[in-house]
Amino acid sequence: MKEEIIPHVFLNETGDKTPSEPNLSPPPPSEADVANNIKEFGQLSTPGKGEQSAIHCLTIIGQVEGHMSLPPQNKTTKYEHLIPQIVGICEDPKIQGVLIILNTVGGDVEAGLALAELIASINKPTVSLVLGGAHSIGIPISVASDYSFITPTASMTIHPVRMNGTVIGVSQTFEFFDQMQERIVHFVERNSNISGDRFRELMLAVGKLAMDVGTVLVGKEAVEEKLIDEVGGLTEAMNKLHELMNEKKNQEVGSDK
Amino acid sequence: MMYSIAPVYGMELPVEYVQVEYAGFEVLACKTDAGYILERVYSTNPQDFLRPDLQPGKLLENALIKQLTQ
Repeated sequence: MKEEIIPHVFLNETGDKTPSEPNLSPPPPSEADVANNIKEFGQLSTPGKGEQSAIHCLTIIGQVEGHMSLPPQNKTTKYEHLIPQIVGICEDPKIQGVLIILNTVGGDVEAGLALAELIASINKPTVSLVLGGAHSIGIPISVASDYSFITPTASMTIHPVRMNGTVIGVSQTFEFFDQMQERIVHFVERNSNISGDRFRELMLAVGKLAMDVGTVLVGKEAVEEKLIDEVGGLTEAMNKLHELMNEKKNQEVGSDK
Repeated sequence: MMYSIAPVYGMELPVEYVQVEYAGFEVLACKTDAGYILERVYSTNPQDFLRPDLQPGKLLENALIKQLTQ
């Protein structure tokens, strides 16, 4: 039997102990508000919370959570929220393009590949921008979009997969690891201009990472290796996304005729 | 299987989750010192996951929480 329990009164964001008023989104400005704005301030108001942008920004941050939730102090990307969100993006006619911003240390292989495959199959233009870092499973996610950018100081670490827990000491364990790794190599090869052989070479390079196997690519090195399309920042990413959105719109208009 | 440069840590810390009804939606919340933090939304409507007030990590408004027990 369900009981209704009075919730604990916690401090809200303003530090007030009393329950706060529901945070409802403000209604879009009316024509009278717009006219008043021009009269009082001499300018039109910029699109506020009431107006939805045609571009949806998806952030892949922290660690990509898998089948175990990480403690709340960790910054995480939750695939169980992003997957239906991506479905919603595809269905919403107001959203015409998606900007994916990454600053991630990687995380669960299957959750990361799930997100990468979904991003690759979105039916709208997508552009990714690597800020800070897109390591490990962040690499397939960053190359999954139609076009990718990396800032000059961002880095990407390519290294072999690893596993915690009980490991059986048989040769099949190595074959299992190899199979898991090949899933990642094939996805990156399919969705970027780097060859599978070169990606494996970078993954297994020695002497570049301290006490580890792999390679760190910084900024333009990722472009030179043909993993990422272009070095750039937010302006370049937004311009490219608008370009792709206009191309798609023109294609749709052309096919309607 | 983890494919990350960061080690997994903090798993031994106790975390209390509670399922609540929040603004008409079933959500899983994490109880912290600051309040209830949204962990997960239980919904089959993809548009619910686009709402800015239902993003994971959001500190839930006390007035909109209805706590359920089984």
